[in-house]
Amino acid sequence: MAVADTANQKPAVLQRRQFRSLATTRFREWFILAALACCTAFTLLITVTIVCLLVGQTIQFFSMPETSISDFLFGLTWSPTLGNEKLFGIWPLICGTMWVTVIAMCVALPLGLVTAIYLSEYAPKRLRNVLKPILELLAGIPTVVYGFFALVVITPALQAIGIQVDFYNAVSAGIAVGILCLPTVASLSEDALQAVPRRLREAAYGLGGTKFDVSLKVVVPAALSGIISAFLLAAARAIGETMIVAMAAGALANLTIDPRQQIQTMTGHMASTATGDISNFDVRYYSIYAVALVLFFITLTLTVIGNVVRRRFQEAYD
Amino acid sequence: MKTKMPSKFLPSSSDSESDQHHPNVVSMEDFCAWYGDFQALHNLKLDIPENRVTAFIGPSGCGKSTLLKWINRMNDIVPGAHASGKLVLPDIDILARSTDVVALRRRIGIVFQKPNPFPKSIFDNIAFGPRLHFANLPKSDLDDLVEWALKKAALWNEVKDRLNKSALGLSGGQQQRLCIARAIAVGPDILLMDEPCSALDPASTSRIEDLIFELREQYSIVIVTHNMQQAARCSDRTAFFFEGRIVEEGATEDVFTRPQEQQTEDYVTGKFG
Repeated sequence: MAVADTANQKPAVLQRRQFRSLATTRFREWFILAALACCTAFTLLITVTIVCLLVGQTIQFFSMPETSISDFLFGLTWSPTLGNEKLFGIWPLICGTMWVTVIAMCVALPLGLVTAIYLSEYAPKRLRNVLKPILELLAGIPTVVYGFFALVVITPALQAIGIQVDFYNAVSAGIAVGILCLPTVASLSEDALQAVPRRLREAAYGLGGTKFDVSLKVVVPAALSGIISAFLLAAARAIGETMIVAMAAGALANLTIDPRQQIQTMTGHMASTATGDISNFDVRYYSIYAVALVLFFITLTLTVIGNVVRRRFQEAYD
Repeated sequence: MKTKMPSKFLPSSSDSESDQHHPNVVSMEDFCAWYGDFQALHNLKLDIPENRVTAFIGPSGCGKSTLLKWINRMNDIVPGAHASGKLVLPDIDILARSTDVVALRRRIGIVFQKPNPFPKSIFDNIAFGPRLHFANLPKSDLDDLVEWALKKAALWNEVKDRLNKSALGLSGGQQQRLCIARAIAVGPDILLMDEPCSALDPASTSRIEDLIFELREQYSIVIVTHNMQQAARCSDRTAFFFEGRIVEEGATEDVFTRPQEQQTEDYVTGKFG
């Protein structure tokens, strides 16, 4: 019978037994591997080039008669432009960067985390789908706008509520950087909270936990590693942020415990020097590389510490 | 005027005698449940006796898990889930808006299909519920409670030296017993189990079944299972679900050996499902 015949016969493709060329397959695999390796090598090469450049120019800087490594690392005054005596002590710049970063994180971490918890655990799905893109829009605002915002809104507002800040000051710049970092913290933390498996929430609800119990005692601890990495990414951005601090924090390297004064950050110094009319052979020009190298080490240390902390606190859920 | 119901409408089966010893802890009548527009359960009528094991069996998607999760209102966290009809404990209307789910879930614990220990220490897993609910909880009392719960779940001997180690280091079967211990540590009367052994190997499964059998002395247990042998082995009563309806319900022995409905017989003998 015809029907039985077709049922017993193998389909045409299986009868022909024409296979794709193994050589082509193997070549394709090899090609993809090579392409991937090239991309990785390129990234690595860029990084190494940057580090070499930084180190090379930094050696140039320290070979100049006005400078010494010990003055640079232990000096407490940074005045590269004043008179004949040029002093290159890094600490005032580190102090400035630290103030801005600490203030920014004091703004971004609590607000960002609370926002993330609200969006992930409390907000209805519809609302969340509207709010999250709006929040992420904050990260797309050009930083020069934040700089103006700090100067014309935050500083006057602080003065209006009785905080005696200078026109250029660390607090305003720090708050502006904090607002800039807020979406990073909120969005990445929210992703981390969302990634916590539903069955952990179910377990906590099943034991009679309220929404608050479930969020704070189960979901946040389970997402801690993601929250820490969100925080570190935001901190790295705050440390490296240039435009806002160049505009709003001031241009006076100032080793101070009072953030209401004007300060200069490492990035602020680099921006103002690199864009100023300074000869390429000037010691001030080379100073930006030395500062950049220090900045690089600070960020690197932060990342390493972050990874160690994250591994220690990680509550893996699988 | 309401007249006395003719006796033929009263529960008549052979185990009416044992029902007297085991009053109902959960009763439902005309219970319907929906996910959005989809009606998952149709006009259910069922009583769950105290200190017995009641098994819900039936093919996938028949609504047995849905019903289980309504008993302690786990479906509250499912968007679009709603229900109507009567679903009550002797003293609480489960579906009432005024019913506090926190208090409800303190009385009705639940164990899920896949073991879901918190990524915390073994001790903190068990202590999680008590810490939520009990106002006066000195460390020594908490220690006693954790030990008691772990002993009850037949896990104490395996973990007593590693209470501060992560619960995720336990095997699947141990994790599931931990979840049972965690559920009973808040002192529920009713334990709901949603296919508690489906993710476990046969040896772990048999330990959990033994445990269920022991726990029924003190807890009213409702277990959803895909496994006919499991239902036959460890339950006292069985309800067979099909397409959102209860086809047959009765003493487990009757349902398995003398099913009244053809569908039930086909299912329990493995002809479909």
